[in-house]
Amino acid sequence: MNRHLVATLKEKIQIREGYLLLKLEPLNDFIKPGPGQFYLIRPSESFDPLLRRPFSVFDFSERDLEFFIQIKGKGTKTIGQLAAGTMLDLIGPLGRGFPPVNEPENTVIVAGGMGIASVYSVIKRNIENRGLTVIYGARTKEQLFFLEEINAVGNLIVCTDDGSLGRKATALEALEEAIKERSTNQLYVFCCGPGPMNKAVLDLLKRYSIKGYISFEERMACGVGACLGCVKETPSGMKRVCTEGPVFSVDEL
Amino acid sequence: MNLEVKIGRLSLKNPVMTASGTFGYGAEYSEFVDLNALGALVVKGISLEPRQGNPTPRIYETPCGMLNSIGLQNVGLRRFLSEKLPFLRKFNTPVIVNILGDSIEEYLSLCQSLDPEVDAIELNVSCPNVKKGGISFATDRESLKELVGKVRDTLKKAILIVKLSPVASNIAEMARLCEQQGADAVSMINTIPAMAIDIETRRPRLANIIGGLSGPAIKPIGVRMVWQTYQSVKIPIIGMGGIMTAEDAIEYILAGATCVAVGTANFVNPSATVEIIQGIKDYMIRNKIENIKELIGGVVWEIRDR
Repeated sequence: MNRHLVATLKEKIQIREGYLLLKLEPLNDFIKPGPGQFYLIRPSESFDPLLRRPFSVFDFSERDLEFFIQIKGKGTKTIGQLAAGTMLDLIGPLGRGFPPVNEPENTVIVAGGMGIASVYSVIKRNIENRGLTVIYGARTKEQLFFLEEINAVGNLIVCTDDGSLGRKATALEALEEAIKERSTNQLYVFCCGPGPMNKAVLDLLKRYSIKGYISFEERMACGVGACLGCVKETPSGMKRVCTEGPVFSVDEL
Repeated sequence: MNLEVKIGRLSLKNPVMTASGTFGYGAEYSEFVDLNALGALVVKGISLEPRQGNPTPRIYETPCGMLNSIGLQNVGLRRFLSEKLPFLRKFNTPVIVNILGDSIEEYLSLCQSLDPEVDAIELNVSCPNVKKGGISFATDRESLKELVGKVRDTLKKAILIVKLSPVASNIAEMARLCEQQGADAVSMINTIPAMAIDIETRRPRLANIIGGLSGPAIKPIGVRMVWQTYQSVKIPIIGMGGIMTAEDAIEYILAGATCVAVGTANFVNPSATVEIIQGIKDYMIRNKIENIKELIGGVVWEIRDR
């Protein structure tokens, strides 16, 4: 059993214009992913688009893998046009995902925009934990998804830059407040957002000496650590987002 | 059916190898490919000291191709010998080490250390010769001549392959120069310097501005260069540039390549190399070809006078 697999596209659900939820069923037994890991999907058998595209695993079960994707460029557009029933060629699970949530009452999950695709499965697996805090921010309410599904979580803080839903704040501001409200820095933050937000969250966590795990995105080709396209500079040298990441612990950065 | 080919004294069980920089140090793909099935394994370019490489973004996809500007990031000679080579030695597949340097001395020093340890050295000559104002070894006849000649004198055991750049104004002439200096083979083509711009931000797509173009987009250029070079050298040519399928590999062999290297295709399909080997066998059966050597340079053409 290796990580190169073929799966049937069972369902393609348009969540909103330009946003799709893909449900895939691998044909054979497959290695089960963990939250925060990712897959490379080959958009087409032709050579344009050429490279596979990386997607965080959104949710998974014994039989299926789900991906939440935004149609952004040539690759995602091609994938978005595939009909249900199509066979897809994918590689995964790849990379290092999030660790288990050991202390939900001391854990804050932060998602920015499409970052929800990476942390959704962490939230879902801890939805019964009344102590867990989730901060979910986006520019406007049109970029917030699956709120009903995660509403049951202990403490959900929704924020938008324009105030169209929830608090008028950035996820970063909401996180800083949540940190200040606590008397302790015995806190674990799990974060996935766009590059600048990840960077700001990293700086914040370092400033407050808080432990955290951040999932990063970078353009990649091979996904298995060979091409060195997706590196991230760290104090101990260049690390590959596809192999040493995509989730990095704050003390590595 | 015989797929065996030779580069100098080195025998390969089949003509399909990996292209440097696209297969890591082998271990990265060992889950997807039986490394024993490969003709040879060419590892990521090694320098004397470790290199950090370029800032990101380092890659960008273009129609039927990709740009990369990794910047020769590698673990350096010492770690290659202690951490990477022992794994590769477990397989019954020749190991070819691509090497790079800023000066002839650096190349020679690498050759001295690697010579007893590996089957072949592939010189990446697309680096600047710092002592000669930074002109690339690949485009300057004098630099290339001196480098290949001195490396030849240094190597006692390992086979010498020179990887040529399509930037040279006459690649066939550069190949002949390498042959005269004692190279056992030439490999071609390296990536083609290229560029892409984001028209919204007006910024280059790569942090390094310029990167190397690879993938199916460059295949016809590689085939043409191999064909031209085949007319002017006797040493084997390792053909590469956009090989995705067995059909592409056979095209290169018909143009004059003795071996082929699979690069970008590994990213798209991690088992591309073994599928290409199988596809070559199928082609040989279909065309009743007993020995792969019958195909080398087998393109048939005629020039008609008007």
